[in-house]
Amino acid sequence: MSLQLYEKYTAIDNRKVEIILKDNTALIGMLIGYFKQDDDATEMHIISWHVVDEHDEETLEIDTFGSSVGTVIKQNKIAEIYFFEDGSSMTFY
Amino acid sequence: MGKNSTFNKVTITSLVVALGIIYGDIGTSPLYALRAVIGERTIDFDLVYGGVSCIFWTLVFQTTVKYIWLTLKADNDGEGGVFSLYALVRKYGKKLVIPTILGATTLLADGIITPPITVASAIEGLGMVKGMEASIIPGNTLTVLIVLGILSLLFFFQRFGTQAIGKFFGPMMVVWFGMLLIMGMNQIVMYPAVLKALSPHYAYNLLAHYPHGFWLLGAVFLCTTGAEALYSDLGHCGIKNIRITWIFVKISLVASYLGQAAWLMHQGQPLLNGRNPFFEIIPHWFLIPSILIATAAAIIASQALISGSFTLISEAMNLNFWPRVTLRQPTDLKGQIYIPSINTIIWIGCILMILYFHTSAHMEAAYGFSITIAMMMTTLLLSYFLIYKLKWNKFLVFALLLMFATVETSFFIANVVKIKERWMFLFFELFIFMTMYIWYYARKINNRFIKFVDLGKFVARIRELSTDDSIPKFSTHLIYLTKANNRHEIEEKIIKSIFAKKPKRSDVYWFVHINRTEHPYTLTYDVSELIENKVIKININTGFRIQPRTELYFKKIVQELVVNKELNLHIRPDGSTKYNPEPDFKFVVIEKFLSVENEFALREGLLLNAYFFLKRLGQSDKKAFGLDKSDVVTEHVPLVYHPITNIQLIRNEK
Repeated sequence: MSLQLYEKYTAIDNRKVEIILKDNTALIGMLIGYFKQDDDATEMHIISWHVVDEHDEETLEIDTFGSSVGTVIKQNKIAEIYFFEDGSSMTFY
Repeated sequence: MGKNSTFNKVTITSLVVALGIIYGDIGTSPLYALRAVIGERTIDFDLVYGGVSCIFWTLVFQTTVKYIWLTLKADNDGEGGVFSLYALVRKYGKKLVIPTILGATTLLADGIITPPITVASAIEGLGMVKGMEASIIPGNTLTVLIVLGILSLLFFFQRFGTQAIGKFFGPMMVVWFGMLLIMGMNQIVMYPAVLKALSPHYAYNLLAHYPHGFWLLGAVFLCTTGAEALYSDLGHCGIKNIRITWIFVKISLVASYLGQAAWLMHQGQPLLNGRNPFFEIIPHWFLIPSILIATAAAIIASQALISGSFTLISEAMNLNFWPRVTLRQPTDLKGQIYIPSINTIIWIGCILMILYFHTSAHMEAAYGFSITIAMMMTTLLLSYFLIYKLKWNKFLVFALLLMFATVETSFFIANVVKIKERWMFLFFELFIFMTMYIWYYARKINNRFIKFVDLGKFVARIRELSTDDSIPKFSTHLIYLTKANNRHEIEEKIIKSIFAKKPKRSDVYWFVHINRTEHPYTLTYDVSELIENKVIKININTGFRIQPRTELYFKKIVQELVVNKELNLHIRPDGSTKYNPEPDFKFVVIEKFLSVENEFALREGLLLNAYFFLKRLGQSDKKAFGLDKSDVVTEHVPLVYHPITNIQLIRNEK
C-alpha cells in the first residue's frame, strides 16, 4: 500500500493533502518527505510520512533548535488520504 | 566478456588452478576421516566396510549430488557462497536473513578448526619416521610447537598475499591427489575384495545394526566438511573446471579411503592404538616425502580457509552484515584481499584450538558440528533459488529438500554430541552471529530515521546560495554521499547540512549514491544534472564483491564528464580562478550518533546501542567510503530529530 501512495506522491506537484487517521482524527497539510524501511534498492516500503502546515513548506521544516516541525504519521495509521491537486483519494484498510 | 565466461574456459592450466584452490579442505580429509570412524573401537569387518561405505555414499550424496551438481547451479554471476546465494534470493523472503547469518557464522566458526586439524594430522605423521618416534608424539610440546609455528607463519605472511606461492598450489595438489590415488590403488590391488565396501548395504548395516552405529555419522561427516567451502570458492575457478576436476579428486579420495580400509582389514591388530591408517599405507621409504606433501596440502587447505574467510567477511561488509573494518589488497591479483582484524581473530582462534585440543584426534571430536548447520542453511536458500530463479517444479524441489534435509539432519544429530567437546565455540559463534544480527537489524532501524525529501524543491535555493557572494565560499565542489535511490530525492539531513547554521556555498553540488547490486562485479554509473554545472547527482552501481572506493570512482567520473565536455571544472564565478585554477573538492560525511533524547523500545534500544558500539570499533565512514585521502568534513547529527514531547516541566512560581 505504501508503494501506491509513494507513486502518487512522486506524480503530483501540489502535495497538499487531507489525511484521516484510523482513529478518525483528520489533518490537512503538505506531504514533504517520508521514512522508508531500509535502503535496499529491491524494495520500497515506506513506514511513515512527514506532514507540515502549508506555510511551513517553504522553510527548511526546522524549529529554532534545529528540530523538525510538523507531524510524522505512520503509514499503517492512515485510513484515507485526499489529494487537493486532483481531488482523488486513497483508502487504506 | 563476463567473469563467468572467463572462468568457464577449460584448459590444463585452469584445471590445475582449480585443484589448488577448491579442494584443499575436502582433499585433506583422508588424513583423519577414516581414523575418526575407527577411533578406539575394535577393528572388524562391519566397522571398516560400513565406515568406508558411509564415506563413499556421503561423498556421492552430499558432495557430488548436492554441491557439485545442484548447488553449483546457483552461481551469482560466477560467484558462489552463502552471501552470493542470499543476494540472489533475498527478495523472495525477508526471513532468509537469519539462515544466511547462521550459515556464514557456522562456516566461519568451524573453519577455525580446519587449519589446526589438517596441519596437526600431517605433522603427527612424522612420529612414524624412524628415529623420530620418541620426539614426535601427538600432543607433546614439540609437535604442538611445530604446528603453532607453521600456522603462525602462515597467518603472518597473509599480509603479503599469496600471488608468489599461489602458482605452486595447483601442481602441489596434483601431486597430493596423485599420491592418494597411487597409495590407495596399491592397497586395493593387493586386497581387491575391499571394493565390495562401496555397496550401500554395508553403510545401512553400520547405521542400523552396529552398536551405536548411528553416532558414527559424526566421524563419517568429516569426509565432506570441505563441500561447503567448495561452493564458496566457485568464483575463483568456474563451474566447468570444478566439475571436471571433481572426477579426478573423487577417484583419488575413494581410492585413498578404500586403500586405508584394505590395510585395516589385513593389519592384524584389534585396535588402532594411535596409528593413522593414512600414513600406514605409505611405504617407509616414501614416508618423509609423503609427510612433506601432506604438510604442503594442509597449508594449502588452511590458506583456502583463510582466504575464504576474508572473502566471506568482505561480502558481509558489502551486504551490510558486518561493520566496516580495514581491508587491504596485498597484490594486484583480482579478488585477493587481506583483512587484518579477521586474520588476527582466526589466528588467535587456531592457536587456542591447538593449545586446548593438543592432538588432531581430539580436534576430530569437535569438528563438523557447525558445518552441518551451514549446509542446512545452504539447502534452505538453495530451495528458494530452485523454485524462484530456476522455476523448478515445487514438488521436485520439495523432494530434494526432504532428501537433503534428512541426510543433513542425521549428520546434525550425530554431531550434536560434539558440543560438549566444543562448548567454547559457542561463544565465538555467538559473537559472530550477534555481530551480523546487530549490524543488519540495527542498520535497518537506523535507516527508518532517514527522511527523504524532494531535491527539486530545494534546487532554486541551492542555485541562489551558490551565487550569493555575501556568503563565504565553502569549496568549489561540495560532495555529499546520499542513500536516496531516486534521482529526484535526497536525505533531509543533507539539505540541513547545506543550509542550516553556516550555509555551505559552493560552485557545484554533487550528490553521490552508491547502489549495491545483487550481482558481484557490477561497476556502472549514471549522471543526472538537475541544474547544469550546478547540482549533479551520480548513481554508482557496485557489486557486492567491489570495494566502495568512492573517491576513486568519483574522480574517474568527473574526468569522463570533463573529457566529454559535459562539465567545466574551471568555472569560478567569483574570479578566484586566477589564483588557483584547480578545483577544490570537499566531501561532507554525515555520521549519526545516538542522542540522549532518543526513546526506543527495549529491543531497538539494545540493538542501536550495540550498533553504535560496534561502529566505534570499526572504521569511520570516511575510511569506509575510501575518502581518507580526500578533503573531508565530518558532521555529526543525532539519529532522531524529534525531541521528546511528553515532558512535564513545571515553572515554579516566585
